[in-house]
Amino acid sequence: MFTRYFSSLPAILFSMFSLSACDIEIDNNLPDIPPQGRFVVVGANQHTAIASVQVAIAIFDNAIPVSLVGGDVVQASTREDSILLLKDGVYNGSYAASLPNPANFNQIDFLMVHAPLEARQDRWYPVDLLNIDPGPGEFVGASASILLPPQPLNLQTDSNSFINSNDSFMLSWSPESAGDIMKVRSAVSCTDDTNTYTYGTEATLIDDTDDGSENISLQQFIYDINDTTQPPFEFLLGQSRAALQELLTLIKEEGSAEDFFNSVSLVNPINSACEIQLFLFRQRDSTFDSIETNGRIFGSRSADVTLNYDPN
Amino acid sequence: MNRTYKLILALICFAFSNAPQADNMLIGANVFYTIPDAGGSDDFHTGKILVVNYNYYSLPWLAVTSGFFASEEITDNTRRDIVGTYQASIETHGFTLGLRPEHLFSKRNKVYGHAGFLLYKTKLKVEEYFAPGLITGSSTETTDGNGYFFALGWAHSFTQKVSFQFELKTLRQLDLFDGQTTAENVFDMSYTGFNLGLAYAF
Repeated sequence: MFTRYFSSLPAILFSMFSLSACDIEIDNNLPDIPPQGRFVVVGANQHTAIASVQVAIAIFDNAIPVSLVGGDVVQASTREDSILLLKDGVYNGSYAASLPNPANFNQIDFLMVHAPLEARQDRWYPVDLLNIDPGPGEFVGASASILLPPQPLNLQTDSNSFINSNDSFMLSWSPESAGDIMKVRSAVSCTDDTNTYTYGTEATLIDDTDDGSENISLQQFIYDINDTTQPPFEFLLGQSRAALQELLTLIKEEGSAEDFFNSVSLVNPINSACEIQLFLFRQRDSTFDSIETNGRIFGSRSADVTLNYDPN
Repeated sequence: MNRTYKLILALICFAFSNAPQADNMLIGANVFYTIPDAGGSDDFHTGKILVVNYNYYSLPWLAVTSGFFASEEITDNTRRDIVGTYQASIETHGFTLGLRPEHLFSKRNKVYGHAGFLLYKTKLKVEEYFAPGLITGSSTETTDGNGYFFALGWAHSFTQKVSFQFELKTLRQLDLFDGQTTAENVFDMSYTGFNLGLAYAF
């Protein structure tokens, strides 16, 4: 059960980061939330070369998202910077923000605060004059910390150009011994002379340990739309697709990755030239400050590498 | 008082200085349909402002105008953020003083301009709704100040005394809540729209 939760964490995390999910079809509820009791999900991820950590939180009561109201808001901070999670994530009850972290601090602290003026800072009128304050709510004072795992360094493949979908390659990175879990996802863009088809996959790894290498078949990314058998990977759908869409939007040139996963299948990948942007996540579980808090809390760091497939 | 206002006052004094030549007066009552704009994320609904003007013709083509305006309560869109659901509304009234040059281009029709400055008093109300069991309420603040307006209009005479008026108009109130809040929270309020009304000459 826990493993199943854990395997979906990056998707959950990045889904919560999303400030908008324009035209992305997703369920509006975070998956794998227990039906009974209070449950809190806290996450943070920093992608290579991005000087900020994306942080998100969601709280549920009996699987129903809890809205923070009246000026109660989560503050995320490093030793040098802090930010309030004022924006809604994609999922009901989730809040997200981008926390500056140019110094790459590993520890991200979360604290529920009552900030009635700061929480209204995006309103157009003078909130210091017109302010109805119901006072702090029950969550104020709750706290948690995340220790981000190390960045996946030296991410590379032994080849980055392929002509056959049966080819495989060795993905390697600098291993760590902390027991972190590794996940591989991709954003694939295939094109013929006139059309482009973009989609995402979640690779099924032989092992997901942080051992520094993984042999991966190109069939984890390239498939034949005329083949009715199940491909060896999972398509990125729902919350996972929204997650990777948000990450692409973050790391690509402004506007170039908009609606990446919204194209229709007019191109058969196996016969077309495809660019595969491969993402490796190193993710680590953390603990809440209060042992009474039920939920999951995790941090991750990610990196990416680009492969090319051209059978022609 | 800035340079613009001084210029307008000078023109008005000039107009009044020719008062013995004038023998016409015009009273107009208009409804100003407008969408207020606070320049931020506001998204006001269309509202109505009643405008009554008194025009004194110091020259056949130039009138000094003074007027009064009063709005209904004009509401902003209801919206939700991390604090809760809220809706702002605005209500304003004030006085205007300006000039109205006009040009008669046919027996029954004329075009005119209308510009000047204004004094306003504006009330901003915000209603907030949180979750069940939490305080719900409203907060109101009032501010006053000055501003300016300009308009371009067309008048059509039904009779020698009664005419129809149509104006495209902008009314701008400056520095709302100046001195009451921090400098970054001070804002201007614009009301752009059109006037429809009747005028009576005597």
